[in-house]
Amino acid sequence: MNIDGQFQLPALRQKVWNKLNDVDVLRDFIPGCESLDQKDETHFEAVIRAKIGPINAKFVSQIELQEMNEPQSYTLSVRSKGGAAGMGEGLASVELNEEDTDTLLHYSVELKVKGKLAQIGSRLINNTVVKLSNQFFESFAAQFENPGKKV
Amino acid sequence: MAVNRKVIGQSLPRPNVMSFIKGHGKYLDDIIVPGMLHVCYVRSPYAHAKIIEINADDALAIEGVVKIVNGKDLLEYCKPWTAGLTNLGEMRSAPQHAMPPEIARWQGEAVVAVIAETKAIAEDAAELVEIDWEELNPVTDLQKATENDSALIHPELESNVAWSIDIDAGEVDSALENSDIVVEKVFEVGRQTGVTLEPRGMIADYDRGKSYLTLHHATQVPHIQRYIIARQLGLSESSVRIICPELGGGFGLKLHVYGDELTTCALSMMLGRPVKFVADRLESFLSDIHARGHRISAKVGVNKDGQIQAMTLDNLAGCGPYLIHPRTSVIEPLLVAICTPLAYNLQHYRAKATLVYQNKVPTGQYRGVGMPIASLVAEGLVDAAALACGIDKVEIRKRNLHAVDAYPVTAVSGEFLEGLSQVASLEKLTSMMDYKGLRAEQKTMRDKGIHRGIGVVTVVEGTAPSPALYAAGGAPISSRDACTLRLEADGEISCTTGLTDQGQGGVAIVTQIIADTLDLSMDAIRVSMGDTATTPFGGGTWASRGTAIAGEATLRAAKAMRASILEVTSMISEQPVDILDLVNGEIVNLETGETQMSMQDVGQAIHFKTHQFPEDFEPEMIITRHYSQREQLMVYANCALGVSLDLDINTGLVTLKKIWAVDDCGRIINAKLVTEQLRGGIVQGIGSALFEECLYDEDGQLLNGNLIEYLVPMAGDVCDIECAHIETPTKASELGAKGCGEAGIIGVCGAIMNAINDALEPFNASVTSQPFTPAKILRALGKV
Repeated sequence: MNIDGQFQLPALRQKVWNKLNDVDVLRDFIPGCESLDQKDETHFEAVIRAKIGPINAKFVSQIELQEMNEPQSYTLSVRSKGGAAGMGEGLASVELNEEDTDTLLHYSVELKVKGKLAQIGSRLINNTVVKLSNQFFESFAAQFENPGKKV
Repeated sequence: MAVNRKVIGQSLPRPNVMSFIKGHGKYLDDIIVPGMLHVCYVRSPYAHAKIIEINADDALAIEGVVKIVNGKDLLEYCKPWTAGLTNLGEMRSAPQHAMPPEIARWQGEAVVAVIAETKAIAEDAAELVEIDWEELNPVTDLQKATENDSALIHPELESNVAWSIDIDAGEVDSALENSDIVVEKVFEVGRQTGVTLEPRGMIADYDRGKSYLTLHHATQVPHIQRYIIARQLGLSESSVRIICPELGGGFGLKLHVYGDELTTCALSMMLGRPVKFVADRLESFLSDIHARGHRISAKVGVNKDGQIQAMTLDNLAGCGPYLIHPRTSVIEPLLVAICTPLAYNLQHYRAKATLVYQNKVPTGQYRGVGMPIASLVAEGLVDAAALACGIDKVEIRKRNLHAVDAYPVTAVSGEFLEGLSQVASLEKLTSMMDYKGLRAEQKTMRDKGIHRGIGVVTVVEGTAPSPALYAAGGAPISSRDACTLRLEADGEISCTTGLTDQGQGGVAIVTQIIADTLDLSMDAIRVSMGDTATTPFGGGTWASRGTAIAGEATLRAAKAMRASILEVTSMISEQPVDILDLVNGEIVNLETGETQMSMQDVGQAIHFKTHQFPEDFEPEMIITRHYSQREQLMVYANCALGVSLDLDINTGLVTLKKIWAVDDCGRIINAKLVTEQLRGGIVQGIGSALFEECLYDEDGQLLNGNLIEYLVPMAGDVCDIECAHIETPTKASELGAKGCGEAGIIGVCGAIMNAINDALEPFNASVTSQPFTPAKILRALGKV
């Protein structure tokens, strides 16, 4: 499935880029994030607890940054294992565009789920991803002077 | 010897019905065996993947976990099997393990067994088993699976094509060319599953002292399962006893060999303790057989007067990663090929079927087996032809059904049809429906913006197969059945039979046949089923064979018992046997009208007072009789079915108004039970037609394996169903009964499709992809 979204952030593009690539910042703002460790320049491991309908599981995720084009765009490849809950694979493209002093962030996610997540969660996964993304960007935006808004 | 028809044919209450009504039914999960452990299976999350490493340390550390077993551990306990039949052309088949030692080939295949003191502990521990997988390319799309560059599910087979068949009655192309009109359609029938109210389950209890395996097993076929289970586990058949508890539905899915069930047996042998397995609903969706999943391109050539000249079909079907054991998954496409043209008198027919492996749940025999698809295709083509010719849809059927005096007739696909009442059934149906009145009403309703659809189909239902279907191909499947009767000392009759009862009323059928033949009260007869240690070897319950096969064996046993009782009475009373008869539970002298002996007198005489007998006289009062139907591949029954529905062209929603069915299953033993079989089949078919489909993504992930998203018909989706019967007894047996369990599901899918398309006619739209969902109907209307 594909999920798209945009967020307007009240900061200059380079500043947004820097925050988005700051592990400590991300750890604070990713909903349910229990840990986030940088393995090397482009590889991270995250442990995130998420609830998708009746499934409440801890997902161990391997994240790789790809196609880094500072400060314009990058791609995140994520492989998550939720044990008995199943697993997910996602490819998220993030693009940052300057709009005066703001930055318009556009993201597009291609997501596949497997196992129990697919069997009982596939109808819920879309809404859950949108909800978690909104939560993330709302709190992420709040660290800048003015709160961001969803566009 | 004349048989009084006093009880056969009456709609009497089932002898065991109060037990169910009062909630006393005892099902597999109600059974507790002392010392019993519970197994929970870890199932593959991938459709196709290699097991690299299993880490069960955390799971083993939980208190109450007894053992954790994987496919490699099982190798020395349970042999792999390779499904196949030798009588239906070449089948490419690969060995299947109870749990795969290396590669999982569908999402949901059991790969690790967690055994614990309670089910809850086993489930919790199963969540902690970590498996490192290497994903392999899944094969999911039917067409792509047949292409040369496709990934292979079994590389050693060098192709994903499991089986194919060509039937050609000859000169089809020229017949099509010479037809006035040729109609071409592509039909799709989505994958479905059985959804029994009670899931699959088993308690395996291996006694190491006696080397004896006792199984409480929710199965339709105890004797067949015993043979296979014994063979796979390296035990002798007599060292395995299967006891069937009451079954909450079978529908075919409880007659296959399942890896998780064989594993449960092996675990009990491994541990020397009883082990219980009961599938939960999510497991059922991923492990019970699926069925259907066909795409059929079909053509019919007709003359302007509606005479069918020729029919062709090309069917592409999927079967999961293995042929299901022991029946194989080819029977569904086989029956589509041979049953599609059965109802009609045509001379030119060609059918092709290709069955391909997929990384999805294995497919197998589910109520109707291929025949609902055959009927959908045939009846869809006939309606399309009627439309093209401008002929009424009932009239075109009348012009093409086998003539009343044509029987026995060999249909164009080679099947022998002994005597069907299709014309009479159709006439009775249209009069019950008030077909002309419905058509007039339809017209008036159209003017008011209500789009009513009327669908009528004529169904041929294959029942009571002969050994030619399976056993001739080498499968350990008994198409025979047996009945053993014992006269007890108190004059009552105990009966055991190889038949099983999943709620159809088999106990009532057998009891009624005995009561009728012996002129005995139903209360004086007790029937037990489903225990391999006590019942005679028999095929069990499948393919609408119970009444036709076990019923005939029962009639034969009861007649022999009757003769024996009269002989004993004759001996004791010194009266000639031919003036004695059984009347109301007593043996009466027909000349004097006096009671000679009671049944109890006979019982006492044969069990206790044998001193009354001459020295060389030793009466047998335990009598077993067998019957197997060997004259016809299947004993064909017939049914005419009509549907009236309203279609909302703005929402695509279908509201069923009424369904009518006229069924001919030969001799009727209990009309109410036949009617309930019809209604049950129709309701299940409403699910097929409107709601049910196993939806997969391209990676072979089942996306709606739960009862929130896999819809089954609820009470509110069902309309009034009016049934009537015609009796044309089969000559294959003395009883004359044919089967009746599948006519409803076979006919109603096509009838609903035809009714929807009838409603869509003014919009030049039609649907041919089952289930006929609102989205598909709106797409056909061009609204979405």
